[in-house]
Amino acid sequence: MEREIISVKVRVEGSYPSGEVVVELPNDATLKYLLDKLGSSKHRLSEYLFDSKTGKPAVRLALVNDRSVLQQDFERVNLNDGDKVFFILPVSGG
Amino acid sequence: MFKYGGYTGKILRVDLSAGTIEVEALAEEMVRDLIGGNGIAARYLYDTVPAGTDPLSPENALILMNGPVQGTRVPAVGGRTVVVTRSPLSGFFIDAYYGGHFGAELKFAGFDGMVITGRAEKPVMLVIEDGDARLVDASPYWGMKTFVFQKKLRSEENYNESEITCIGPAGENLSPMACIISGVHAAGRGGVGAVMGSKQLKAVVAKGSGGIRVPDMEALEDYCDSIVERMQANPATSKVLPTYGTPAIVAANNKLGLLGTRNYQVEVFPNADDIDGEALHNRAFVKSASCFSCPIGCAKLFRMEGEEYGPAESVGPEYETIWSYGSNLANSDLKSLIAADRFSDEMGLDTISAGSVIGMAIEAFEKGLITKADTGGIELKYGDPKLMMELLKQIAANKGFGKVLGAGTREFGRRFNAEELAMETKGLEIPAHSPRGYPGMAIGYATSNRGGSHQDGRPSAERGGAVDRKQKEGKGEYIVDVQRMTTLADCLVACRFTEGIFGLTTISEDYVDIMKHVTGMDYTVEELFDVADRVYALERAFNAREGATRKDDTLPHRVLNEPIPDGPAAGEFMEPAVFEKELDAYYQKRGWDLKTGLPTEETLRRLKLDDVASDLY
Repeated sequence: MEREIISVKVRVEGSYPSGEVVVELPNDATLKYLLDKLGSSKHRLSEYLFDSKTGKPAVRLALVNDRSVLQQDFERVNLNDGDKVFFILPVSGG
Repeated sequence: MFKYGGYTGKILRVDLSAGTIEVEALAEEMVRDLIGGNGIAARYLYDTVPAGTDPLSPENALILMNGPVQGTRVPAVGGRTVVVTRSPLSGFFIDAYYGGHFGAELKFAGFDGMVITGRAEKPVMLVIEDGDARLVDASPYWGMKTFVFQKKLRSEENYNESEITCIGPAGENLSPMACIISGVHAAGRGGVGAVMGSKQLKAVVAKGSGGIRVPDMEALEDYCDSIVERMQANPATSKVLPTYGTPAIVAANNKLGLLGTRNYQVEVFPNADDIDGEALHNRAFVKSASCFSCPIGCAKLFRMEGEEYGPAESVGPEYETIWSYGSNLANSDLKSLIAADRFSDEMGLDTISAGSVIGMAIEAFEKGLITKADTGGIELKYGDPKLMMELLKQIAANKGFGKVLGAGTREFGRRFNAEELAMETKGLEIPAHSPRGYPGMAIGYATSNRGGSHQDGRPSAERGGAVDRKQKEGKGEYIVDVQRMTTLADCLVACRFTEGIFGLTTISEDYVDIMKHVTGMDYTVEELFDVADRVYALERAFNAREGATRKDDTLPHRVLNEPIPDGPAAGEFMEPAVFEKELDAYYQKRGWDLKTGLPTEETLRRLKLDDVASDLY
């Protein structure tokens, strides 16, 4: 029987003290839904995911179980129970 | 008074052979056309150093230059300086940058920069103080490590408030991998420290009490406040870099399957968790430090107990060094990374090139291309931090096998018939951003005038998903715009961490605003494109005089022929046909000749480089 609620494990690059968090979502949730939920609920990861001035997402890339997903595809990627999501920020070596 | 704000309008001309110092007026037209920093330095280098000049000869010029913003409150640019010279490692143009406070202090002392030629009879240092400059005997300091020297100098009454730019033993020993150190910051690439050592110049010391004149200080303050506000709203510059510094990105690059390991033979390091930003923060973090006027504070002091590799206390390692001394050597010993970073800074050694050539040598040893007869009896193997420390000592001493290594991966490849293992372009080792996984960055490496540097093309937009990293088509044209942005930032001598605020992929209106607020000059974005193109063409013309053509705009054999063997990015590489097509597009967008890879005469004249056009055509 299909579960109504799924759990995904989420990390954001550079948010290590926050560690991996488990987020519960409806079973038809997309990656965009996850990002919106983290933002709207003022989850502790949200300050790593959004520009606090503009409110726009600061992340444009996520790995879902190590598979790269660009921001424009967040809405098209459905999440499954047990998925691991890693959001990557546009930071690089100086 | 100089016409434009931000500048002192004065350049020092130092001839160490003659022992003379002259003050030269900065030409207003040059400022308008090239802005400053790398732009003006490139012009001086082109005009001062004739083709074929031995980089370690007195005729080569060592140029230190400010841009207009140094000494102002504009965030993340205020204290930086660029060093420009002909590289003893590559033989081509090199520009190397360092943070800290020296750039601001030089401005306060009354100078925008200096052009140093000749060779002193004995070790000297150039002391600059409030509009005056003199040469001082540095014999007592010759041979000192950089930190010992700076501490010693600061303990003396005359210099206790000075900012110091110096070399360590690696520069004195003329290692082509020697860098220049200021505080704990390094102008790392291309052997600029060896050029300084060849001139018997131990240090440049600056102290000043002057100010910076800008058109409207209140307007500039308001503008700086707005930039700081944007930085504080952006998670990268308000959370990640202030907390972890650049080591933060180790984990994600490994997850992407793009963390060069064992000389880029593979790109997943199984022990990355032992050396990533979290590990460093949890096991070794002491405190943060900032450059002049920067609110980020990305510099991290790390310390671990025990000295089996030497003192394990250093501001660093940065991401690049975690790669070069870590995954690239299959070394997961965190303490050794901190100790090796400290050792390299004290000796004045470029960690990127040193780690790259050691990684290549180990691969060559494992494949039987070199033996103990070549290494001075040392067995080379990955995952051996004590071996790494020993080889770093030898490179810094520039003797024996260390001299062979210090000549760089290109020369090492030629010597041992191991060219296919060399991870370099134009003789400069490529750093820690995978050219197989980031095709735009790959074309950036290939076309960079300084060689294998991530500071002309940039990996940030591809790595962070702002552009699709897997798409190769269009990346030739894409990287022209990225290089325009980086070239302009180098004229301002701006830290790359501004790119997340000012724009990752091209020149934005922010640069127009900075120039207006600091200098009073009104540029359009299109005019700034021309400045960037002019500077890049000038650098390219310098290289052309040294024989550079399209054949030098290439990539390592591994990048063009060996797909990443496993991991999340398995199969990715730069197919030669795709690369050549994108290179054509790159040249076309720049107005460069497709056969020679050089700016056409028409392009040079459009950029007001008529003298260069006459030289090349």
